[in-house]
Amino acid sequence: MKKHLLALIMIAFFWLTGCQSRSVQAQTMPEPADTLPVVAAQPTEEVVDHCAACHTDQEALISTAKPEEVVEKESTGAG
Amino acid sequence: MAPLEPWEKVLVAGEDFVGTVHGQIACTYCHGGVNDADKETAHSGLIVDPSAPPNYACEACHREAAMSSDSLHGTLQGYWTAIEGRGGSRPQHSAQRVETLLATYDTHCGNCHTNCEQCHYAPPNSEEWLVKRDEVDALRAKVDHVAEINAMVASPEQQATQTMFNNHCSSCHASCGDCHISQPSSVGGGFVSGHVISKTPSMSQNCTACHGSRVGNEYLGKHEEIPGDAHFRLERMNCIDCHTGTEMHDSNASCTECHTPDEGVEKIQEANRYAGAQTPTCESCHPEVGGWNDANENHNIHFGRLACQVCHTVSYTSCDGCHVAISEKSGQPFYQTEGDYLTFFIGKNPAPNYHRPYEFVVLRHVPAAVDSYSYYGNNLLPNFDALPTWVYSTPHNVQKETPQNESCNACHGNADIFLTAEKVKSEEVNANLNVIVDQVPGPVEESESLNSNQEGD
Repeated sequence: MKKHLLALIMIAFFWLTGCQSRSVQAQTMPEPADTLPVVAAQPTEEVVDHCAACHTDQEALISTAKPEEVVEKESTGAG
Repeated sequence: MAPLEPWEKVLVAGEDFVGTVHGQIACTYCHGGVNDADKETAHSGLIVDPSAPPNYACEACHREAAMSSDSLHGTLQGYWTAIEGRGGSRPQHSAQRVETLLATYDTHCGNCHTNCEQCHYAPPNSEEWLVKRDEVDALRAKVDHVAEINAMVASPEQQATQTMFNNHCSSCHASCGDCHISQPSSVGGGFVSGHVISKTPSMSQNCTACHGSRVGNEYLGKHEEIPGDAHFRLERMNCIDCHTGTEMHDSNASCTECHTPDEGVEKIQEANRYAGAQTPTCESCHPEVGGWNDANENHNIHFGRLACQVCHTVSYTSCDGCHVAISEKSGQPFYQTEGDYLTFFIGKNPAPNYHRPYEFVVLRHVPAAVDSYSYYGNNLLPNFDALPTWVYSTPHNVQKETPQNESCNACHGNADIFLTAEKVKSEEVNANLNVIVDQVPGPVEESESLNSNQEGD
């Protein structure tokens, strides 16, 4: 019984010691520095997807397509 | 299937694709190139098929399908199994690797092995250099790294076979995009659905675009007077109803259900499409066949001894003598076969095993010839007779009723439908000894009960 009481007192002692050190630290916290200047938000330039712009436009693809070279098939048989 | 116009091949379906998950990703993320209005600038550094090696772009997210690079469609190992089975071989190490190893040896090892005094000494009062025999013997006992590295250099035959493969066989390599986005390049390529990525490949624009001359024509009934496969005619089943994504993506998935990795089954399943477990199997949809409650006595009698196709397929395409070369006119690779024709032959199972224990199977003639690759070099298949030219086959023209299952003796005693020696070319007899039927099963006493098992479609 006495041993339990002693252990309890020791635990309480160390716990209170920890609290005290934190409060000491809180008392020595430095004052906050001057606030930084706020930069006004700049309007972002819209990114144009040139890939999709061309590849979804049938007329654009037709006009820019390279003429397909006709290759005579020389293979014969079922393959 | 008409080829696509150039603009059709690259026309992206605006809202259909952009609205998908993949459409939210910037084009340049997968395809490279530059986001620029000028075509030439935009296409600089363009990766046409980012799903193909070495990029494998899809696998960054789709880990479940990451084994696609190891599947037969990715590795084309089936071709190498046939080539190497006939004595052909390919380089085991790239020329660059050999150069690197030799350079590394010279930098780190060669200095120690070029010191004269290590092996020679001059006795006092003598100008003659003698050999330190013990030292030399000790050095010889160690591994000769230079000899090892030199042995890695590909032989002329290996280089020739690899060149042949690169020119003619590698075009069958299927990337993710070749099945899920575009038509195969063998039929001109181009988007199937405006770059919308399809979970299910199109039977006509993907599967049979490559597997057309045999599987596609048989399955769809394109041979005159030969019906298409019953699975297509009656149920309109397409390829993936039987050939699942698991089979396509991971050739070993069915193996690991029963076998542990250290049993070496990875090598078995990767050999070709008929190695390892059957995927798919007829029994997966027809489990009653050969079972205790199967009312068809023919199934009970023959189950396990005959492959299903022996009774339930009809005439299919065989081919002769394929030769490959580079055209002098166009500089393009091409092939020529000596002919293709319809056959139906029952032969012996060339490799019975646990998964395919059959005694009799259907055989198709493949167009392999001893001089198939003669354009690239002599004797590139030095052990040609090691593999048969009449090979295990699974024709895709399944029928419930066939000429050979009309009655017992439509097959039994009917030598016409068995691969007997006189039907095999004389120069190929040796190669086909283990598939030729020496003794055709004789006629049997017809039974009404057996013949009445046939029911109409």
